[in-house]
Amino acid sequence: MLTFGYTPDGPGATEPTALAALAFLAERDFDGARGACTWLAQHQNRDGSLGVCEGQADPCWPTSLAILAWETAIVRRPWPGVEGLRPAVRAALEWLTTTKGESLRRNPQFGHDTTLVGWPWVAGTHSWIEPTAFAVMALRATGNAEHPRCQQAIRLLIDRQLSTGGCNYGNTFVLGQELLPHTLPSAISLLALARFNIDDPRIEKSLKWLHEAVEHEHGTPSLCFGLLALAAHDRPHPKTNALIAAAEHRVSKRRASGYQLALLSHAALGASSPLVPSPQTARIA
Amino acid sequence: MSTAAPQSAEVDVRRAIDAGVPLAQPVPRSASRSDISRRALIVGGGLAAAGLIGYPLIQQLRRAKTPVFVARNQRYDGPLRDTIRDGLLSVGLDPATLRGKRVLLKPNLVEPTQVAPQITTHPAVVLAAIEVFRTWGAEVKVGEAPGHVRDTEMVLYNSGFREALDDAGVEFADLNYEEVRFVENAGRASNLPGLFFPRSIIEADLVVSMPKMKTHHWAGYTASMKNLYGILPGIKYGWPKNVLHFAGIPETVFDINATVGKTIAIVDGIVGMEGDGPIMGNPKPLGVLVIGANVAAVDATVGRLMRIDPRQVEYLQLAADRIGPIAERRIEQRGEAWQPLASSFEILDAPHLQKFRKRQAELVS
Repeated sequence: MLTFGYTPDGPGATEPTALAALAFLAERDFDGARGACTWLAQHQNRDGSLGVCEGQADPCWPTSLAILAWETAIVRRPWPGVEGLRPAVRAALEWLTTTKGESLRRNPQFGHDTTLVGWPWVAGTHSWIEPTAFAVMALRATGNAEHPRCQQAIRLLIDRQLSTGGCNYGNTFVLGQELLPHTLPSAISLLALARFNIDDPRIEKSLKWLHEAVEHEHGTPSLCFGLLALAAHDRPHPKTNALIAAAEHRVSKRRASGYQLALLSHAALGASSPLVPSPQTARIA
Repeated sequence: MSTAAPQSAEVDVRRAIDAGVPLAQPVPRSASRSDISRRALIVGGGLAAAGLIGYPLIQQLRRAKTPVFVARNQRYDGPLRDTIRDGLLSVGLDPATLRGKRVLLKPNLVEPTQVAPQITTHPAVVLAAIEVFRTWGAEVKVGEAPGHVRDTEMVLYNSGFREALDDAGVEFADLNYEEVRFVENAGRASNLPGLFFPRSIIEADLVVSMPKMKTHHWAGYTASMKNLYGILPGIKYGWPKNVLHFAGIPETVFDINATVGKTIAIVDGIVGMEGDGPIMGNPKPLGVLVIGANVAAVDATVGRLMRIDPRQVEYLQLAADRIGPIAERRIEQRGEAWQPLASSFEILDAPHLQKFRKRQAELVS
């Protein structure tokens, strides 16, 4: 079994391990992929979910990324018996489709549609961009893009785009003031929305914003997801290679975490990363 | 919304805090109340005796005043190290008690952006505090669990802390992703049975809350107590830490502070924020540092400097005389008097903030 954490000495965690499994699959390192997929399967809770890290059975928002890793492995058939992951996928999907964020009555204090239901970071709280985007990616990868929950989640992600482009961590307006965009939630939401047929001018604005923002980004997660999102929308950043090289240089100055290395691998893979959805269309209800 | 914890919990908190107990010791979930108290007393007793932490019983009984130090005319390129050293000594910190102790400095790096440095604690203030505590023989690190963004590398670069901490050779603890431990909620103002604290908080002998002086569009204003939202790990609470919002902002601010215990404060009010804080407000230069060994007393003084009545702030209502005093008569001003330095911080014109605006107008007139 193989596991990776957010920090070099931190506990094994679901998100970094799932991202590593996907990178191993893309690089045809099947031993690595199998080790990571097995770790994920062994850390699945009885209800089908996966907790954030070793020793923490909840919250369970990274379950979507485990689904994505397992499903990608099953589709690519890299080792005999990979089909044995199917029950894990089924159980995780069952958990995912029955889990939802708390909707709130519309309130003029908030600019976004608080009645739309996506996924929360933690059970019993509101729906937020990143867990919702990861859920959309998992549902699409497993052929559930038309699922009503996925359709509503897509509407939520579009609704949370700022009028000037990009996303804040979750809100759009609070008390009449538009909030600041951030690269990571902007990138992850755009990655989830890539290759759907969405005719909404906010997507174009967000892509333009991200194209500018990513060039000045120093955080590995923000930079890598930013580059991936642009690649997924078929407009790879012209400075992709230089930006990745600079990030590798920064990361190499101190001990790198599995999370950072997996993300850099995906950024280098670009449109061929398994995080980038295959061409597909979906109706927006 | 209840403004008081249940009576039984209140008694426990009072006892613990009176004894200067750092409640965030690694307490197994199965430990009995007597086990917790005994361990906490052993660990916390020395620091309390040194006047470092808590709100000692004897002070309450005598109704002694709690000292808060205010320094004026401060600049980020000025002799901040001297000011912080003098301030800490002035409020009763004994450097001898810090030799070999683990001190965690907790700035506010909630949502850094290079275009609005007034959102976050200035690195110069933290660097000066590092120097002071190192000089006194403490083992210092800086830690934060940014509340709105989970890319900590981005946080460090955009706030200027990456370069500053590298230059100083100081470790940064990413509190969002460290190992966590469940600690029983000592405050019990909210319905949360306990809180998950990162390893660095559990292991610290002293936590120094180093907030930015800012208005807050839900709570009124934010200083050293609200800043401790940033010790709770996003990996357990989300980005934002919506679990705390659902459990009640004032209640959870109180609970976190009551449970951590071992906290002192150095507030960056050199350039604060007014208007739509804590993120979208405008810079407000005030030129002050506020320092104290009791977070409630410090935050009450911060409110007065902003011309916001601390008694109107719900988490300070909860904290009053349980974590520390907020009444002016119970706080001894050291350094500069706050009155000539006070300046009205603009407050957003929103219905739920009218109580602050109305009282501010009364204070000014």
